[in-house]
Order: sequence, then structure tokens, then C-alpha cells
Amino acid sequence: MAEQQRPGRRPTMSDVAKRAGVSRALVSLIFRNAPGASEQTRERVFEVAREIGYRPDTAARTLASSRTKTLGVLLTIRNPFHADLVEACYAEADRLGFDIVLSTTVPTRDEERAIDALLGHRCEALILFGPKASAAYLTQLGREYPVVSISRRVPDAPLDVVHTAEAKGVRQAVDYLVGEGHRDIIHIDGGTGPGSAERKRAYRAAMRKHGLADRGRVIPGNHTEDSGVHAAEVLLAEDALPTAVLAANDRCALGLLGALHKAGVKVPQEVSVVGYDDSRVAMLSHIGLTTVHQNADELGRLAVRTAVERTETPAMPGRELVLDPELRVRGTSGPPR
Amino acid sequence: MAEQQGDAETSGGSRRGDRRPTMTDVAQRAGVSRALVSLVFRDAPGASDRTRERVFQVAEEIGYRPDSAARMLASSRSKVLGVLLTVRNPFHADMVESIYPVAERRGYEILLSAASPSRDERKAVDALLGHRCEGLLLLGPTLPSSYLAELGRKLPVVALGRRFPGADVDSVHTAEAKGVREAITHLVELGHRSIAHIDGGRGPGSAERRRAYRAAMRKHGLTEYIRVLPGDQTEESGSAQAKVLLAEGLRMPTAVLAGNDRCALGLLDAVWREGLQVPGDLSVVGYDDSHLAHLSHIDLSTVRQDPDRHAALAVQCVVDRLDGVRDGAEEFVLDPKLVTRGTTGPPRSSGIMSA
Repeated sequence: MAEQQRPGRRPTMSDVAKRAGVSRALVSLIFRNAPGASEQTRERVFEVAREIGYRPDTAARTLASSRTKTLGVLLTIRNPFHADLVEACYAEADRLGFDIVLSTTVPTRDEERAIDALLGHRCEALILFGPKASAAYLTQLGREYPVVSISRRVPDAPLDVVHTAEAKGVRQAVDYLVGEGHRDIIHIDGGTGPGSAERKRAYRAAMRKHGLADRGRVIPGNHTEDSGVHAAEVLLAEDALPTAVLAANDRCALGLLGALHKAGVKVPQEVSVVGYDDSRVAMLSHIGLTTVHQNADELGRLAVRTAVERTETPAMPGRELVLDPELRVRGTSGPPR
Repeated sequence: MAEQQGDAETSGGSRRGDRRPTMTDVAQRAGVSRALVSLVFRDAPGASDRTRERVFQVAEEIGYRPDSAARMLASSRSKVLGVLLTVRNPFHADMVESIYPVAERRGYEILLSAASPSRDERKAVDALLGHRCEGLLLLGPTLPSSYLAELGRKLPVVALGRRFPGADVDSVHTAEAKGVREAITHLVELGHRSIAHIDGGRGPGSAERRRAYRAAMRKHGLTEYIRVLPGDQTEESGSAQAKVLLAEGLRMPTAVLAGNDRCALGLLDAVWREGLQVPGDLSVVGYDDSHLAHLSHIDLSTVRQDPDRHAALAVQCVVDRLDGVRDGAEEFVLDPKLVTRGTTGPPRSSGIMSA
């Protein structure tokens, strides 16, 4: 198709790209004078363009280049951590001259449909917040489009992943609780939520490390407030409460906290509660949740940068960018009674 | 209409006997997304040579000719409705969840654009316009009327939760006064007299709710108890006012009507943390009935705004305008409904409990 050199026809941007050994997207970027290409690349592209007589014609340029300068973001609209990420993505995209469109999964609309909608809007790259789709699907998607996943790792897939070192965050939380004197520390599992498997493994390992393997306990759950409420119900029905709970994420911790407060259980005197994410809700002064901070600003910023880079150099192998988490000790934790 | 073929495609699935093959058929058979097929036929970058070949081969096999795609491109209709929202607002999340299925049934795609600290509502609206949205649904916009009026001249616009008198935009909102009246009557019947209101500031519906609160208190002969505390429809404003109230000890009101559910949640959390009983020490009523209100541990009494009906009417407004069914702005007012749950009860000092 476009790649075929027909004699006598006007040279196109693809011709320049081929000859300069760069992507068409990169050539387009250079002719638009947008940031993102090195000085050296710019020069080479201009030189090649002169050689073959390519002249960028504005109207044709926009039509043919098919650059929409748009990134598509898949999110769960009800997740407050996703709200934090969206804000970070908007800010960075704005700096790079890209716009963002959002598509959310809702009960009547699964991830694949939500992603299709983004592609239908001609997004140049996709940023997926904690996607739950199958590895096979995501791998295929990564072959077809520039894709960046936040939090969910897809081994060997041709897409970029930006995530927090889950194990490290969990280790910090367990070390801290043990240091405060806790031994009965339980974990509410995040089910299929992104990072859950890693968090659970890290929890077990940390408990073992402290010689508390026999005190370890995992209550099934997920990444919603309801799972925290459910865990509270389970715990309140038993003879004794654990002295500390490491929740699946902040939403789960909030549900747990609410149910404990309502039952008259004092936090942190009777039970310490630790979340995961440090979504903006956790920081609210009235909640003061101790939690593992995931740097949403940085996750969002890196995801956008990575996505834009991938639009310029689509053939890159998958990259993994790992951020360090950091335990934030606030009011919901302390020494056991 | 020119986009008839396009419609059949977007709705997908429904296979008719010997109808013409569509892009969806090609996508299914080639095992790729429809968007990718479209991209290949537009000769846009983003598909590997191998995929291109497979797509062309499948297209040939089933006899697909891409002129329907060309027609769709040529037609001025995008079949996309834009939605402006605030990403942190749980009631907006509820409405978005309701809007999708209704829009899809009418054959429209939804595009979301959020306002955030680095991106004001105008910018978020501009993005929707840039993506060729045919109509806009604005969730609780705080944009000025003059801007809305201008926007309404360009394309069909419906505002949810706010009225724009004088501007040619449709509006779907709740009869705020009625919801507030029901809430106050409920509290008065429980025996409350000292009922405070945390104001929603510039948030949608706030002015109406505040006026209705004052009127309802006056109607019940409780003028001397009228008390409006400043707020802004966030959790922080609820917890900030909780601190003010808790400092008053015995003089604190026995019930609070919050500006919305988020404000009520902040208030509740702060009150619970102080070890006070709800509703024994304080009754709390929210406004919205967002999904957070029904969480079992919160169990908030609140004024329900029905997101499904808001969504259905809003989509209807825009689609009707696009179809030329109607000119001139319309206002749809929905009846709210008080939902009494666990955060309201008789005040401790009242005689009502001693029966």
C-alpha cells in the first residue's frame, strides 16, 4: 500500500520515514515541529526530505499522517485512585501537546468494548489503568497499538508497564506493624485486582521473615469498599479480633474502617488498619489512613511519557517501569493494646 | 439517511440473511478489532504489514467493499455524544454508568472528558468538540450562562443538575426544593428542631437547596433554629463542619442536612471517630443517593436523585434535537425521593422515644 514506491508519484511522509530509518509518526512529529525527537534525528529527516523532494503540505499532512495527538485512557470511573491517575495524566499530556479521551468499564460494558471505543476515536496510544483483560488479549492489543498498562504486568507482551514495587510496599507495612508490636496481622486479599497476587505473596513472605507464618491469615476480598465491610463482618463474628489488618487497597480499608467504627471498635487502639494506594481519599484529614503510598502523579506522568514515546517508536520491546512505594503512617495505626 | 449503513455496523452482531458484509464481519473473521480494520482501510499507520495483508485477504474472501466506511467518513455525523464530568464525584460516576447503555441503545457512542485541577471545564468541553461530538451532556457544570448560551448555539447541549435560564440548552434536574422539604419534614416528624444545613457553595443545586431549607424550617415554625454552615460539596467540608459542631457540645444541633452525600460522608466519619452515635447523638441526611450512600456500613439517609432517569432524559434531549424533533430549550424536572436509612432517628432528648 503506502509503502510501495510508484515511479513519478509525489514523495510521501512514509517515503521519508523509510529512507531515514525512523517511524512515520516521528517524521510527522518533526514536520509539526513538536518535541520528542533528537536534534540529530531532526536533521537526518530534513536532509532525507530535501533529497527526495518531500514537501509537507498542511492539509494533506494532517489527513495523511493520521495523527490525532490523542491518548486513550481506560479506567474504572468509581475508583478514586484512578481519579488521581487521570488528573496526573491530563497534566502531563497537556505538557506534551496531547489530549486524552476517557473510556470506562461499567457493569454493562466490559473492557474490550471500552477499549474498542477508544480505538474508534483514533487514539494513538492506549493507557490502561489496572486492566483485567486476559494476557492473550492484552498481548494482541500490544501488537496492534502502542499500549501502556498501569499496575498490571503482562509478561512477555509487547507493551509497557508502569507499576509500583508491590512487594516492597507490603514489606514496609508488615515491618512497621511488627515493629509496633503486632503479631496477629491479617491481610484482606484483592482478588483479581491489579497487584493483588504480588501483595498477597509479599504479605506471606514478610510474615514468614518475622517468624509469624502461623499467625498469617488471608481473608478473600477485592478492591471495593464492600469487601472491607465483609471482612469486618467476618472478624467481628469471631472471638477475638486481630490487632492489625493490611487491606487490599484504600477502598477496602475504608469499608473496613467504617464497619469497625460503626461496631464501636476503636481504631487504632483495638485494631490498626493499613491501606494500599494512598488515594486522595486516604489523605483526607478525617480519615487519616495509614497506607502504602503509590505515587499517582509519577505513575500517570510516566505512563503518558511512555505512551507518547511508543507512538513514535512502535516497535520497541515491552518495558517495565517500577516505582518505589512508601509507607505513610497516619492515624489508623499504632501499637497494639 | 446516509449513515444507515454505518448504524448497522456499529450496532454489530445482528446478522441478516444475505446482507452486505460489513467491517465488523471482516474484523471478526480476521480476528482483529473493528477499529483496526477501519485503520487498515484508511491506510493509516498502526497495523503491521502482516495484519494488513490478512485483513485485505479476508475482505476479498467475504466480498467486503469499504465504501461504507468512506461514506461514514464523508457524512458529517460522528454518532458520538460527549459527556463532561468531574472525575471525583461519585454521583457523576453513577450517571456515567447509566448514560452508556441508554446512548448505545440509541446508536450513539459516548466520549468522556473530565474537568480536573489542571484542566478546567472549558478545556474539557473543547476536547469533546475536537472529537466531533454531535451533542454534549454536561454533568453539574459550573460554567457561566453566557458560555453555555454560546455552546448551545453550536450544538445540542443538555445540562444535568443545573438550569441555565435564557440559554438555548436543555436541562434535566431534580426538584431540589421538594427533596429538601421532604428531608426536613422527616426530621421534624422524628422530633428534631435544631436542624442545621451545610451549604454546597457553588455546587449545582446548592442555592436551591439552601433556599428550600430556609423555607422548610420557617414553614415548621423553626425560624430561630435556621443555621447554614459554609461548605462546598466535598468530604473535607463535611469533616470541617463536624469539628465546628463537635466543639459546641450540648448546644450542637441534633440533625444536619448535608449539601450532598460526599459532605455527609465527611461529616459522618468525623462524628464516628469522636465516638458519637449516629443517629442517637446526631442525625445526618445526605443528598444524591450516590452508590457510596448505600454501602452497608454507611447506610445513609439521603435524598435520591435517580441517575437512570437523569441519563435517559438527557440522552433523549440531545438525540431529539439531533433528529430535529424539537427546537427550543426544555427543562425536565424530576421528583426526588427521600430514602430513609440508618443515619436518621429521633433525637435522644426528645420525648418521642418514651412511648
